[in-house]
Amino acid sequence: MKGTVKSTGRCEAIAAVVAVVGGLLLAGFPALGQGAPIKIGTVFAVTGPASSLGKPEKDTATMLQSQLSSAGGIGGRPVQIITYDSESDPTKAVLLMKKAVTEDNAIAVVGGTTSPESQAMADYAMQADVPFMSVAASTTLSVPSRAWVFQMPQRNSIAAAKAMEYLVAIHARTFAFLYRNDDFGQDGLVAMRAFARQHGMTIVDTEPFAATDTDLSAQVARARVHNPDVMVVWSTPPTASIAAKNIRQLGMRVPILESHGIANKAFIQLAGPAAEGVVFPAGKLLVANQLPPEDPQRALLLKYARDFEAANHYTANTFGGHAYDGITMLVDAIRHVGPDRARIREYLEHLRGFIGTGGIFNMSPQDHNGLTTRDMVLVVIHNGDWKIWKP
Amino acid sequence: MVSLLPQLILTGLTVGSIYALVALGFVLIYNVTGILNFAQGEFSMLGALLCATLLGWHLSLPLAALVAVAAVCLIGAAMERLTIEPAFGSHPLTLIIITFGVSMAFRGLSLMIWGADPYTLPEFTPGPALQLLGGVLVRQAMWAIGLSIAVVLGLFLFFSRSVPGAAVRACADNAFACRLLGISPRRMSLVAFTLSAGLGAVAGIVIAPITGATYDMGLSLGLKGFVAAVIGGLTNAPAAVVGGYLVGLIESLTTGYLTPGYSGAITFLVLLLVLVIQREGLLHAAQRRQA
Repeated sequence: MKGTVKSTGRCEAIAAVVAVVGGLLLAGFPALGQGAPIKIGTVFAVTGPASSLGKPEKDTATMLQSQLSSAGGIGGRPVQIITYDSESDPTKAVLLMKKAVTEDNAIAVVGGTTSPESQAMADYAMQADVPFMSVAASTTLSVPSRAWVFQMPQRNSIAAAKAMEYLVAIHARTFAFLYRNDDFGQDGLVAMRAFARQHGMTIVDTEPFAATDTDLSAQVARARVHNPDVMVVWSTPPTASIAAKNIRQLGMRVPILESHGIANKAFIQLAGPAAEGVVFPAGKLLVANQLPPEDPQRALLLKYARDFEAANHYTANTFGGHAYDGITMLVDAIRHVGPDRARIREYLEHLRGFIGTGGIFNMSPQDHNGLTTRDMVLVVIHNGDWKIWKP
Repeated sequence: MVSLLPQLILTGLTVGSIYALVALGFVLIYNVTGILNFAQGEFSMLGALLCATLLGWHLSLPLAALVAVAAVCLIGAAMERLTIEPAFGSHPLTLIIITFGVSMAFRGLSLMIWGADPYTLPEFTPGPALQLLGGVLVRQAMWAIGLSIAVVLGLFLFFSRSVPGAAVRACADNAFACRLLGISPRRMSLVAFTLSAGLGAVAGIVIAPITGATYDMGLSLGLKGFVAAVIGGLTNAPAAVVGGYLVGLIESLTTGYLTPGYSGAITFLVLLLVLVIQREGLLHAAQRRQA
């Protein structure tokens, strides 16, 4: 009997040591003794099909954690950014968000790399009354606006409107629309249909494809039959690159317009020479050093890119930028109103003139995205690099 | 007006050649060990990514490809020795689940080593796509198609003309009798894994210029290759190649003439039909009736 008690005691001691050491490791050794840390939860698709977006998002969170730690947290209180990997799975994403909120007691959550993940997390945010900063671009995330949900990327309809500016500028009358058959592609299709009608353009053909397709020449061949003025592709690499390659391989010489989903170097690497001349709408990060000196975002964009590239072995991209905006916006809110969910929400909803990597955010109760087409630029790929497109 | 059909057929052949190469790896291991190796797609992934890394170290393409294939052969052998051999004699289902676990481990490790960004390899013979019968065929697809035929011929010669090949076949037929004759089924299993890892790596390197290479490419490749192998009956290399081209053609023709986006569903529907009508695969059955 005595022996059992003793061994239980030892077990408890071991458990306590493990818990303390584990806690320290997880927390990345925060400065001790300045009150409980303020926790921000992040859930990104670090692995799985959306990992080329989720990885830079997580790496940005890690970078901000070390910056916040060395700056001594917010008002003397340490800040802890908890990072979880959703594996690109909406169910896992929402479970991890729940874990961050109920177990870790996170004050707010940033994440939802893909739109399906963000949709599920937004629903939970509304149930649990937790501020949620979505890094996905689906239009339905901020239209209509929901009390606890804020959207960091330029929503798809804004990107589509920017893309339309290109079609208008080159006087296109017809175009074919190739899109990835999921939330992202369909969102683009709906928006492009509406804008085409407004501008009197005709969509001569729409061709869906799957994210795992390895060849799209069948779709391109179908579109080619209709002789479109422009080929518009709405997807992310690798399919976005395969589409561009197939279009050129099949001998089509018309301009190619793609979506903001190709705003990383992977597109150029995979598409090779076919990437040349492709135009797409993007946040200003890609062309930060080409912006005029008076651009209010220029300094921030250059700093983000410099810091990110110093901490990681690859180029900064807009996806990491969305995570940056979500986290820094929350930090700004906490600094002003303290770690209180309702007051953070209230503050974010009326945030105006906030300079982020995605643009200058002007939030309102009706608009929880707060960005416009002015926050995007049209970019053309020239000699394997990004250039601001000029008509 | 340009006719669709020639292009759809050429697209089907391009995609089919990719599936055919992966299907061959499945058949090779299944023939010898009676298990399905779900890490087969991962061998292709490792081959392509290793080759991309070696190219980054300024090796020439042929040398980089050679080193990458050799390295993946070693990985395949190590996988057999470390995970399959210790469980030798277990139920095939156990072994299949082991290969599944290994594939997940490979994927996870590759994510850590190469990250999530896609890599690409240059085309072996760069140049404009070939005009053929009113459609175009990417040059790299010619390599993939040629390779799938060459590998079938090579395997045929190996199995029917060489002593080790005969030993491998004998093991598949009757492992007990083989042991009596002094042929070790365990060694044959090692040979099968090494060969099929090399085959997978070659496939990965050949298709990377067309599709790009990512740490998670193995999963969908493996799945489609598996479907192709099953349609071909799992034991017959030429039939598996035909199965691969069949799946490729079904996909491109569905995309071209029916609603695009349903090609995956229709491919698996065909697989179900094949399994319901003839459990051992369509082509396998036809051949058996002939015999």
